[in-house]
Amino acid sequence: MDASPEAILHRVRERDAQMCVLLQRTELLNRVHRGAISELPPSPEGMGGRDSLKARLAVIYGCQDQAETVLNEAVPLLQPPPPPSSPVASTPDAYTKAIRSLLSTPKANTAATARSTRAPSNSSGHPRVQSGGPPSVRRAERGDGGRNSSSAVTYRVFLERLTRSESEGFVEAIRLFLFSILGNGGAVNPAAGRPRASSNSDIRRETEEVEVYGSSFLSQRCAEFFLAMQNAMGVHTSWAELGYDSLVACREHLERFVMSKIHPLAFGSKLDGAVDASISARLQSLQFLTPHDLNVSVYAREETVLTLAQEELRKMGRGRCPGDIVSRVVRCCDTLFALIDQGRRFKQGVGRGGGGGGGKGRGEGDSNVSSWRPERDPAGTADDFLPVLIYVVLRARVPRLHSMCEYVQAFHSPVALMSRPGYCFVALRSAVEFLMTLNGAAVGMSEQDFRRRALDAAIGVDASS
Amino acid sequence: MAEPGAPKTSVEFKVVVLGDKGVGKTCLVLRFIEGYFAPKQQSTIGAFFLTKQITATDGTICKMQIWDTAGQERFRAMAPLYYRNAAVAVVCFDIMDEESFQKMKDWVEELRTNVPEGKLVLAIACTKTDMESKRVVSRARAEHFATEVGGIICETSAKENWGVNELFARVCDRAMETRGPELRGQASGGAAGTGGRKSKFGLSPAAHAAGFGGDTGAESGGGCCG
Repeated sequence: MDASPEAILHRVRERDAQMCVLLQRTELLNRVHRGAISELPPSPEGMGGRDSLKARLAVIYGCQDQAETVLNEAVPLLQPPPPPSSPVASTPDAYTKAIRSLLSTPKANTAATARSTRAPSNSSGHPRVQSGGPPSVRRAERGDGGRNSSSAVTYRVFLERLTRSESEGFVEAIRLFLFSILGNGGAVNPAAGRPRASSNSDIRRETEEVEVYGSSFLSQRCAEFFLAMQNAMGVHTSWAELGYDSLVACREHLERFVMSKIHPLAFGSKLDGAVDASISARLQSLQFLTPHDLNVSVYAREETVLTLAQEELRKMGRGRCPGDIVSRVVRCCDTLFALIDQGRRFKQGVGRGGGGGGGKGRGEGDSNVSSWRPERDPAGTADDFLPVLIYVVLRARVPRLHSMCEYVQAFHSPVALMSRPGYCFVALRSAVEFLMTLNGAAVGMSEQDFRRRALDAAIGVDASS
Repeated sequence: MAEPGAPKTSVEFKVVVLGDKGVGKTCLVLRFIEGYFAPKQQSTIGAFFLTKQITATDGTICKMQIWDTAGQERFRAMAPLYYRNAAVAVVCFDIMDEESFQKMKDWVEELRTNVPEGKLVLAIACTKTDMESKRVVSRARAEHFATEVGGIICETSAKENWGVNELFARVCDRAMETRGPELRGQASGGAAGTGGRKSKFGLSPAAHAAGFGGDTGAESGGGCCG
């Protein structure tokens, strides 16, 4: 078997792609099933197979052509997939079999299963939701600014929707995806986490044959999986109605769900102890820098608030999924914005002629006055913000900072990284970058002086620790 | 599958604003945004990151994520982090300041070196054009440079609100022309940086509209994060 990375990636992708097709099939069949069972008159006698199906579809869609289209799409999907070209997948795929058996599960059976498992699923699901979910979710949403603060679904609603019967295809896909990463020993936990599977031993047995890829190509696979799921939700009868914003939110909730399961593995794949250590050492040696050295605006030098911001930043390490980590960064940044905003207002109240001795950031603020002032004074511009963030990063000395950033970069939704949380995250990264490349000139001291002080700071720690 | 009856397409992309310190990047952006955000939102958002939605000429709704950057020279090295994955770069210079014009050229040069051809719409904003009497960078020079690098150029004044909306409208149109399909694909899921295999889930709109009521019997959903 070809074991080059490209070949493996190819196989992994093919597998994931296959699963997505199956997902589509589930949805299609759901539609056909439901129409056939709940709304349709019994099929006319003498019509079998395809014709009967087409007649039913025509009733559903109110038009023969439409029925034909849907049917043409569905029929090949209902056949067993053609043998894949990739050698590894030559035996019927476990994904395929699992989902196919899912599809062939009679409706009544499913309903009965649902009823019987309802209680356990609730009792096992709810406490976890309360412990891990909503508070941080709410924060994450607020942190998301204008994007979807008002109407988007929350994590709890997302989970609730997943438990509905029409979402079974998604649940299965998620489960198999997790399985293909964590393997049998992972947290997928077919028996405990998924009571339904115990009543459908076929599925469980077959999923155990799913090939396990562990952390290889994890971030690509995750990105593609999340995207495929979001697209699938976008055309699903009951999820599509949520609208664009909510679907984006759902993608993030899905990410939260999956990442919280595979966190150790995913984080481990991005863990780089050497870089983390060098950053820690560097930050340690820079502890002598004062807000003045870093050109922090005078009105932002408020130790109490800065300490609060540091605390927020340190909480980064508690987050398990990328969204949580980023939301801590956002909270830290929000604290700083509030601080800058306050400071500006106070300064304006006192009067503008405070002397020209402030930081560079203030210099620009003042020069804006001559041209045009926005109706509301901005709550801090990028020029004010970065220096103070740098100072906070320096003081907070977050452990494993680099690994965490890499983890977020690799696994967080690109859409989120483009919006407001993404801005805060990039600001954090650039603060780290700045601190790592800092020299004497940038903080207004001679290179010799700078080195001597850095050395002192570093030694001071060695002695104390 | 195509989406014949798709109601409207919307895209989301990143616009990064660059320029020397003091050229009025923040003012330009705020002028563009003003009236869109309720004041109370703005108080926490700050002027560094703003969103505005406008409709391009072709009917696409463009949601712009506008990233303001720090202009100080010592943060220059961090700029690539900011313009990474941006679809549009607006580079500003002050018409009263020759040095800012040179800096603008440096920025453009840097972008052209670091960003693959065709990935970025470049726009040059001449700011503070209300101060015509103190102008030192002539319009012709700036326009000549813009043509050379194939960028959009716009004379703006945040104070008088000249050319600001025009600038962003042109930017949007250009972005749709050059990267429309790509951005549309991204908006539905944000595949930036991944291989970009898109699964084909397009089912006919009529099918979505069919809306069968879901059964209420709950499947177990698997535990959530513990």
